[in-house]
Amino acid sequence: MDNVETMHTAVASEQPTQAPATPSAPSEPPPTRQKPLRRLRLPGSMRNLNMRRLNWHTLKRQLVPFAFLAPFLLIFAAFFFAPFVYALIQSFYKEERSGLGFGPPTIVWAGLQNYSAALHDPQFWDGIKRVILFGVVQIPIMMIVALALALLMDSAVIRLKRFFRLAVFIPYAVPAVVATIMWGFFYSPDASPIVAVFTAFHLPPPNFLGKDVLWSIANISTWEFTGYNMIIFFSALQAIPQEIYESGRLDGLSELGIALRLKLPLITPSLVLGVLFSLIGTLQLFNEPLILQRLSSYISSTYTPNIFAYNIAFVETNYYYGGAIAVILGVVTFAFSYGFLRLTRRQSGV
Amino acid sequence: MRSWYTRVSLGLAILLGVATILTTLAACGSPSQSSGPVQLTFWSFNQQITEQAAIFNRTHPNIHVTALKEPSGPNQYYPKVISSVNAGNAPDVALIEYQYIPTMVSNGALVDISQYGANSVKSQFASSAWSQVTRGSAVYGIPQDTGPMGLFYRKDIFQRAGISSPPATWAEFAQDAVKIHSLGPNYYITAFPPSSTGWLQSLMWQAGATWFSIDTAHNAWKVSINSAASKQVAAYWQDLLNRGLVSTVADFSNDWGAALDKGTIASWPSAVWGQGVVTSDAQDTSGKWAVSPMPQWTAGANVSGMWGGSAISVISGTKHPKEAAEFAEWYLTNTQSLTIGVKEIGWFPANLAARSFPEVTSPNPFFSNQVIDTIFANANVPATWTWPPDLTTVNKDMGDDVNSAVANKTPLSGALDQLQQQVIQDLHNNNINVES
Repeated sequence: MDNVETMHTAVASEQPTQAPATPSAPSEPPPTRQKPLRRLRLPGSMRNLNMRRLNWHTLKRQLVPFAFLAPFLLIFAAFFFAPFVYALIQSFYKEERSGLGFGPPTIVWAGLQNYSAALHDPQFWDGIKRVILFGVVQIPIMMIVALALALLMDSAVIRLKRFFRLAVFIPYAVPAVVATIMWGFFYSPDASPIVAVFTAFHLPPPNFLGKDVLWSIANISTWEFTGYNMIIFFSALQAIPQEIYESGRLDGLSELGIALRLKLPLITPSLVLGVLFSLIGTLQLFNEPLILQRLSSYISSTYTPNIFAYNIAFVETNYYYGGAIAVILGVVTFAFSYGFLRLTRRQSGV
Repeated sequence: MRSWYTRVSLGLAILLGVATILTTLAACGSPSQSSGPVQLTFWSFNQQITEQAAIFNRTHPNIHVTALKEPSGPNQYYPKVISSVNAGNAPDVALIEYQYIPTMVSNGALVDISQYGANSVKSQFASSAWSQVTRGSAVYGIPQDTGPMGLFYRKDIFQRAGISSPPATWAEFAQDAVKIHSLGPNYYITAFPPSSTGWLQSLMWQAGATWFSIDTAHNAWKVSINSAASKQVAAYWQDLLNRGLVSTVADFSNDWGAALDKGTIASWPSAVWGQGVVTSDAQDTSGKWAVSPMPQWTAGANVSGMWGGSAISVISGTKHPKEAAEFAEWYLTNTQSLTIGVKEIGWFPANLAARSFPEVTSPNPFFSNQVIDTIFANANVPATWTWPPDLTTVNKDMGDDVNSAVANKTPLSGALDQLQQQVIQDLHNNNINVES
C-alpha cells in the first residue's frame, strides 16, 4: 500500500515541471488521456474566470474543489509530508555520548556526516544492488504473467471470467506479512509440503531459504502483485472501444494479432504505470525479507536498503543516521522512477 | 439547478473537512485530566501480569496500574521502549532484562529509584541479582528473576540413543551428539541458532569469557569479544556444525518448538526460565524431560552461564515516579504477586523469601519429578561479565556476523574478530571511550 502512496507523490511532485509526464488513470481511454489531467489542473470554474464575474458566487464555486481536497491534503500533510520533513531535519543531526556512555546523550549538528557515512557504506550499496537485481528479474516475469492473464480474461476464450479474475486478484488482498508467513511455511525445511513431496520421491529437496533466498522472496512478491497488475491491465483493456477490434478483424487480424498489434499498444500507458509501481515497490522491499529473516541465515540486517534504514533507526535507535539512509533511498527511488518515465516517454504517450 | 448542486456540494465538502479536522484533533488531544487514582502503565513480556496488576489495584485505591503484555524479541522490545521514551509516550514501569540495563541507562531511559526508597528492600534480594540493577549509588530497578543455565534434555531420546547419563562435559556432549544423530538424519542433540545472540554470549560467559570490562584507570571500555575463551566456544560449535551434528533452526520458532516436541532436537542448554518455554512448546511430552547441570569445559568443575534475568524498572518521562517505584517494589516483594510469578510465569525469583516457596522447592512432574530449581540454584555463574552501553547494536551486528558465518561456512572465530572491530568502531562513533 505504501508503494501506491509513494507513487502518488512521485507523480504529484512531477506535475508542476513535467505537466503531462503522468500516466493516465488506468480506466481512461488512451486517446483522450491528457484531458483529465488538464481538467484537474484547471477546473472549469477557473478556466472561465474573468474579472467581471469575480463575485462571491464564483469564489464559492472555486473553493469547492479545494474543500473536497481538504481531507486528503490535511492527512497527506500530517502523515506524509510532516514525517518526511522531520526525517530530513533529523538526518542532519547525531547523538553524542561521552566517557563510558552512561550519561544521557546530547544531540549535536552533524552536517552531511550521516549522508557521507551512508554513501560510503558498502552494505548500503550491496542492498541497493540486491534490490535492483531483484527488480530486473522479478518485474519482467510478473508483468508478462499479469499481461498474459489480462489478455486471456479480455478474450473470448475462457469461461468463468469473474471467478478467475477474483482468484488471481485475491493474493493482493492478503497482507504481505500474512502472505510471507504462509510462504515461510512452504519454504520451511521441516514443515513444507513441497519438501515432503521431494522427499517422498527420494529427490534432494530444494533449499528455499538458502543462498538463493532472494528468488524465494521474488516468488512471494510475484504471487502477491500479479493479480493487482492484471486488474490494471484488464481495466485498461475494457476501456478500448470495440469498434477498433472490429476494424482489425475486417483488416484480417487474428485474435492473437488483435491482442499483440492492437490491444498491447493501446494499453502501453497502463504497462508503464504497472512497471513504475513495481519499481518503487522493489526498491522499498521490506516486509517479506524482514519476516523471512527469522528463517534464513542469508538475510542480514542490511539485506535491502529499507531493512537497513529500519534496523539503524529502530534497533540501533540511531534515528539520525536512519533518517539519512531513508532520504537517500527516497532520492534513488525518485531518480529511478523519473528515469523510467523519461525512458518510456514515447511509449506511454507523454 | 446549478446553484442547488453547488450549495449541496460545498456544504458536503465543508462538512467532510471539518469532520476530518475534528477527528485528527481528537486523536492528537491529550486525555482529560481526572482527579481519580494515579494512572500507571506497565509493560512486560511475561504472561499473567494482568493478574498481578489486578491484585495491586485492589489493595492500592490511589494507584491504578494497566498491565500490557508486549511482544518479546530483543530487536523489538527494547528499541520500542527507547523509542517510546524519545516520543514521550513511554510506560511508567517496564520489565528490563539485566543485560539491557546499561543500554537503557545510556539512552536516558531509566529512573534512579534509590530516591524512592528502593534501597529499603535491598536485603530481601539475592546480592548477585541486586548488583545487576545498580551502578554506583544509583538503583535502576528491582530484580525480578535470574537466568542461571542448565541442560534441558529428552530422557527418552537420550535413552533410545543409548546414552545412560546426561553429558557432564562438553566433550561428552559432542560424543552424545553423534549417538543422537545416528537415530536418524533429522535427529540433532540441539540447535545452534545463529540469531540467538544472548544464548551464545551466555555459553561464552560460562567458558570464562568477559566481552566487556571497564578500565577504571582510563575510564574506558575494554572489548574482548575475540578472546581465547570465546574462540574455544566458537571452535567447539564450529566442529559440531561442520559435522552436521546440530541443527541451525531459529530458537523459539515454530519449527524449533515442533522439533522439541518430536524429540528431533533432543536437548537445550538454557536458562531456568526455559522450563516455561519447554512446557508450553512441547506440551505433549510431559514426563519425558529432565534437567542436568550445564556440561563443563573442565571435568568435575561446576560453572554455568547466565542468560537473561530481568528487573522491573521505572521509565524516564513518567509523571509519577514515586508511585511507579512503589509498584515495582510491591510487585517483587508481595507474596501473592511473587507466587503468581513463580508458579505461573516460572520465575527463578531474585527475592530470597520466594526461593523457599513450595512452587520452587517441589518436584515437577513435567521434568520426571525432578526439583529442577535446585539444579539452577546450585549453578555457579562467574561474576566477571559486564554489559555494554550499546547492546542493541552489538546484538544486531553479532546476529549478522554469526548468520553470515553459518550461511557461508566461514569460521565462527572470524565472525568474532569482525564483531570485535565493529563494536569498537561503534563505541568510537558514539564518542564513548574505548581501548582499541
